[in-house]
Amino acid sequence: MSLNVYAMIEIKNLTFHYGKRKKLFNDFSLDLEQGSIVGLLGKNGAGKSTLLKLVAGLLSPQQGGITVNAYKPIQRDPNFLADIYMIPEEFYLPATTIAGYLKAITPLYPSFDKAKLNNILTEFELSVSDKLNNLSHGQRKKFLIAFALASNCKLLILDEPTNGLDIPSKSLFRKILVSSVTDEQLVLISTHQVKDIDTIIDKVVVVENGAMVFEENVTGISSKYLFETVAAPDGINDILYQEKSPMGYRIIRPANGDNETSIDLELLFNAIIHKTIK
Amino acid sequence: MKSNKFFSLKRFSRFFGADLRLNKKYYFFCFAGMAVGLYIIFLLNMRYSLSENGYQPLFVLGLLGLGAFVGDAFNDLNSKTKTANYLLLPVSIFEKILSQFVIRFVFGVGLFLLLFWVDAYLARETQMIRMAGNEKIYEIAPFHYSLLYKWVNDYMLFFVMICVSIGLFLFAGRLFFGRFGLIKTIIAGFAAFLLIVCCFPLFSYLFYPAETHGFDVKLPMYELFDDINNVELFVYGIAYFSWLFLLPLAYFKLKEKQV
Repeated sequence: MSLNVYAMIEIKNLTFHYGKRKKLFNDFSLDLEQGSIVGLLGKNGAGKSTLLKLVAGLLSPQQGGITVNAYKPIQRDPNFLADIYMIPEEFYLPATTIAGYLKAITPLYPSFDKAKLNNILTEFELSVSDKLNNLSHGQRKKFLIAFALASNCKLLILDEPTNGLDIPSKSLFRKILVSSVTDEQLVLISTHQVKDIDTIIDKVVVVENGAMVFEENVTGISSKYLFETVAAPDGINDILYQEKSPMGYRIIRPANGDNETSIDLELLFNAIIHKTIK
Repeated sequence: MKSNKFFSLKRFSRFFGADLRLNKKYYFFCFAGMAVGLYIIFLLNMRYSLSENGYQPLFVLGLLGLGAFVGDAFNDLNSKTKTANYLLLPVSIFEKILSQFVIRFVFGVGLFLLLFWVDAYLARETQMIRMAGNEKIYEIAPFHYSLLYKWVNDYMLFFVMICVSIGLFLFAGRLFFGRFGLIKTIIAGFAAFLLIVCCFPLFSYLFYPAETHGFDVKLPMYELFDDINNVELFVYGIAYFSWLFLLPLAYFKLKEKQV
């Protein structure tokens, strides 16, 4: 049996464009399995948010097929919608208290875990008596992250989740996300702030000009590449990519069976964008 | 457990409850505004006297207010962020339409009829108390819904159906537009009406050029059935059957909505 059978998201030969503009995705294919946190990376305008909207069923592809949990997202079957939760980059929350919002919306999500939500809200220093429209953008985002994780939906789609979060909240977000996600879930995170998610993702997908230019598991990346900081690149012949930094030079070179290093996702991303790594 | 993808009573009642809970202030202020507005209009029109027929323009004015409430349905489609949030709520398209239909049409019409009647009586009582010491006797006729029969006679069903059709046009038209949907729907409605009106001279010039002068058109009328001619059939068709077109249109427009 092939691995694709277990793929939660199957995108086959997707073609999409807005109106009469040029194609944003052309013959794009991608399979993502459950039980992982996937980082969807790309430059501004690469189509990350559009891809998330297509997966969530907010947009319809012109050609090709998308299936999520065996549903076609654009059909917006309520059983499909009850099992996905999307936090868009710009979001809306009504003018009510957290408690009021929870009372209204949680009955629509059958797997919602209120105890889990309370724990996350406590960690984020939010109270159910807080009024949503009195919270800052970052606090509102933290509430949505808490809601998404407590919903226990099989697919969580997070578009720029760390935008607006302060530094302690970003590390808290990483900690809570890793501890909350189960093997039955898939978390798809789109961001251009790659440093915010480099320690939590299991898989990296990079899109550029409507095409997938890189797809690799973290273990695969670690076994293939070494990420090092050196005083000077002179004398190192196998450098795949280098960037000057205050400490000297950050470099990527083939692992060749050497010891693994921790992944410098920002450096890897830049290397992919500059086409020195494919 | 998977539930029916078109309609589940449990899911619908949860969604309906969520809508009422999250928008309770909005609905309350709509109806409070309607109640206060009607009361003030009644008071102003009952300063000296008001005949039974005097209620007629007030009732039409009230219906316009009700039309605005019905046409403001789906106010979650006012912005892209709200629309995305609304479309991702785990209920079916049918349940989303039904929820708005029940709130705007069923509750809206029911509460309007009740508020109109209550306000008419309250305003009349207020003015009667104010005029109690006056030497000159003014007469304010009481309002009762049997007056509607008096106004429209045998055309009661036609009147009701034309109101329903206009309401459904505002309700369904709202789904075609984002921000300022109600205003755009009204403008689109007038544009459609003008287009139909312009068709009469156009066809008249095409088919009866000799008998057409300016906007003085020839409109041939002939009996089709007992007491119904072709023009009446056209008007009745729009009044009685446009809902058959407008409700499915609303369903498919919401189903096809993309953000």
